[in-house]
Amino acid sequence: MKNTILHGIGLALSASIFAISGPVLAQGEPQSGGTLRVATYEPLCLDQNEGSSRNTQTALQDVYDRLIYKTQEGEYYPWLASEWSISEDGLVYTFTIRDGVLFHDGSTLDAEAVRLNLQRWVDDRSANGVPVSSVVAQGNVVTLTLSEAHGPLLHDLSEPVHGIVAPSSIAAFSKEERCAGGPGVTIGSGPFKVIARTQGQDLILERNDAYAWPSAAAQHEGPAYLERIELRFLTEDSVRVGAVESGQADIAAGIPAISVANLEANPNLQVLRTQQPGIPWSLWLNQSHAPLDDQRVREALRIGVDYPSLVNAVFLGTATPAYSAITPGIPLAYDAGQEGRWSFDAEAAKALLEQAGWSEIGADGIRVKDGKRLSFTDLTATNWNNQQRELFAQGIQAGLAAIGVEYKREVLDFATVDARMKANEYDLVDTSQASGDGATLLFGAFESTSLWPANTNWGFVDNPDLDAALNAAVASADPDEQGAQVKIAQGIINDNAYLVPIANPQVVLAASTKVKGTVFSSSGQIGTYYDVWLEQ
Amino acid sequence: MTIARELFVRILAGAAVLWAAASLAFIVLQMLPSDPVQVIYGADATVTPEMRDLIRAEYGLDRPIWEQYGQFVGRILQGDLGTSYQQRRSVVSIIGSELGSTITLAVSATIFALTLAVFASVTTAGRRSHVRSLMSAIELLSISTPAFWIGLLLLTFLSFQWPIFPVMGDNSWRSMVLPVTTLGLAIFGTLSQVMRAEMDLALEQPFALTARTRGLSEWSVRWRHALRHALIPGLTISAEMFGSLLAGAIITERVFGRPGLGRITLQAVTNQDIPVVVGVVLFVAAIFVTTNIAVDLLYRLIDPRLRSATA
Repeated sequence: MKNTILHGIGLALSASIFAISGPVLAQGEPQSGGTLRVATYEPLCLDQNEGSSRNTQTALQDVYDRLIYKTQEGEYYPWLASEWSISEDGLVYTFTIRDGVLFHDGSTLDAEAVRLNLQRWVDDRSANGVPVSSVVAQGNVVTLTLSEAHGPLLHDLSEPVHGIVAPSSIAAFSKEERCAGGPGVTIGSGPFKVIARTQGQDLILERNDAYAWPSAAAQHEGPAYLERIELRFLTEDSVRVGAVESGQADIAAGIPAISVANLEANPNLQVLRTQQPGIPWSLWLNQSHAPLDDQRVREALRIGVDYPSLVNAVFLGTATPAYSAITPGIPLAYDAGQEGRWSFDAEAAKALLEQAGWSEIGADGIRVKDGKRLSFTDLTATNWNNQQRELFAQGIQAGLAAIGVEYKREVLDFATVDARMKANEYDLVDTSQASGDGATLLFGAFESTSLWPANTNWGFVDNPDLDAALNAAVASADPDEQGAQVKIAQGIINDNAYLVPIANPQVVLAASTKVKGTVFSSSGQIGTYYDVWLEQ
Repeated sequence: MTIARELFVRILAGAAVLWAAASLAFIVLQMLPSDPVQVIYGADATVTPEMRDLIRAEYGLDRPIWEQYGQFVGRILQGDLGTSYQQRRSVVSIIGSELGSTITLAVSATIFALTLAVFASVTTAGRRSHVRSLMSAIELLSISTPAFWIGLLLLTFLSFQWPIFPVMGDNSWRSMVLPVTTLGLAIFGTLSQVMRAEMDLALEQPFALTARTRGLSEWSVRWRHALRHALIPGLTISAEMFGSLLAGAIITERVFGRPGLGRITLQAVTNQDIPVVVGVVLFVAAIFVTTNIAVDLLYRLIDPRLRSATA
């Protein structure tokens, strides 16, 4: 096998789409033409089978089309697949491929092209653990057979990473060439085609005038409105902000919390925000050893710090206090009933710690039991961290110190974090996870066999009731049933204090007021530019 | 010792330095606590055991260490620096494609810095004036201000506030002005100070007095005699300058979103893309070695005294 991917729980995306605000869509008739200039992050590899990241998927979502489209509400719409069906036992998926779809080079997108793409996903990437036993194309129908039911499959296929690449490109170019990409190499069937790529600098897309096969969720038909999209890669937050403020960019991604107030006050700009779908920024509690094996200590961590006040003070309105293992960004799976299940109470936290035997307080103000100090090491990786979390952690440290608990946060390079996790040398892990698929997220983070490094059950949670709910969620292809099971799981996680959810992050972008019809993908990235238009 | 022989010895020593750098890189690589497979898959990914084994086999990570070392050195001898974990491309082609951009930036910045430094030292050396104090202050400021901040200041005023030099949507010379200024200022200060110090000395030498008594104008003395002396230490610190340029390029390329060696180095280090890191280390070591040899040869051209001493 040759290839690897950067795809997984944390990167999994869905193609959900959702209108930012009423006025945006209400203003005037869409106008055709113009160049949209976007200040954003760089994709690595333009053939996502060779390696994908959130940036790659955002940059390429309009270059490659997918079989089906998923909205943020969790509904699926036909796209390249005009219809599909799932057998009763959940093992056989049949997709009918629509007629008349052409790749950018004029070749036909047919069932065989789809089969080839799915097959190389199975061959090169073990289908990311989806138990696929065969992929067959016959006429205009593609049949995908599983060895056991896997409910999230539709969601997986709706992600931008599953954009269909032209077989002509796969046959003619090496994986290195396809990764580097460029005009004539990066060939999809989407509303925009790649006309230039300068690595480290920009990616230029041009309208595909032949486009006539948008998803059923799209707001219009025919070719896209925009003539051209220039994705300019600017790594520095302040430079992206400056670019959109000075009118050099029409859209800037990744707006830091500190800049939001300024941008909102600017009459030429609109701030676009959405709830990040996934697992909130949380503390995973390692209960494989003392003292977090004691539920009273876990609960003390949950109520011992005034997290909501810290969220408001630090995230400046770009995050909301979290009470569940799923963010409100996944409406079908989010259990709003968990909100307010606990509140800050330092005295109750102290009482819980004392009940747990941590009643003696040492000279340094930290509780002691049998000669051991009540001290927690929190691990996180540099690429999971940001300035706000850094600042927030100082608040946690101060809050916990006040109830006699020592908190040390270590921000380390990923490789070191990986090694420490494998050696089980940590008490807490703080991070968030982004995905529009709640079932797979919670299965990966809390199911008893989903341990690191194959998955992210950093807490070593092992609860039969939770396992049952998570297995039922993952086995079901019915979004409502999946959602119901994920909600049950959220309740069990909170009953046992397996996780301390802290903040539901929002994704914030800034755009010129001339930009209309913008949407978000459920990953929180800016969604398809197909319906976007510029007021001339 | 003849020049040819000295050159041979220097090249041999250079090869030894490169081999040492390669071996050191390999050892450090082995000492890292990380699991390369996890790094290949990226921080957020989850990997099934079968995929893990396949990756290990593909990158030769399943073989004994001495065998891996042998293959590592063997590949380098053939000019193969391996394949990037992240970009799936050969390291040689990555460095090749990014090099041009960095060289353009670095050479332009050096010309900018050198021009400024020559101007500053010729006009202010040997004089006690306000201009000199002002120039010294500017030099100190440029040495002590991080390139990162200089870059952001330039952008804030000359691109965001007054849109003179765009950061987006323009790939002409205008997009080069701010990055070149940022990187140039980062090396200007040191260069200028060293050159002026040497010029101060040269202007007090008897030959300067002789030249003046021959009726040469003050400008000729400075331009034709003193400047030449000032260039020698300028060359000597060029190796150090090269280091500053590379460090400055990392910052400059990041702030201005430009392609280049600095950008891929930073990206490789943060993502633990070890083959790229090792490739850049070797490439930079090779340039250091070559620069040092070239500088030694250049001394002879600039300073005739060295030529006669070794002839």
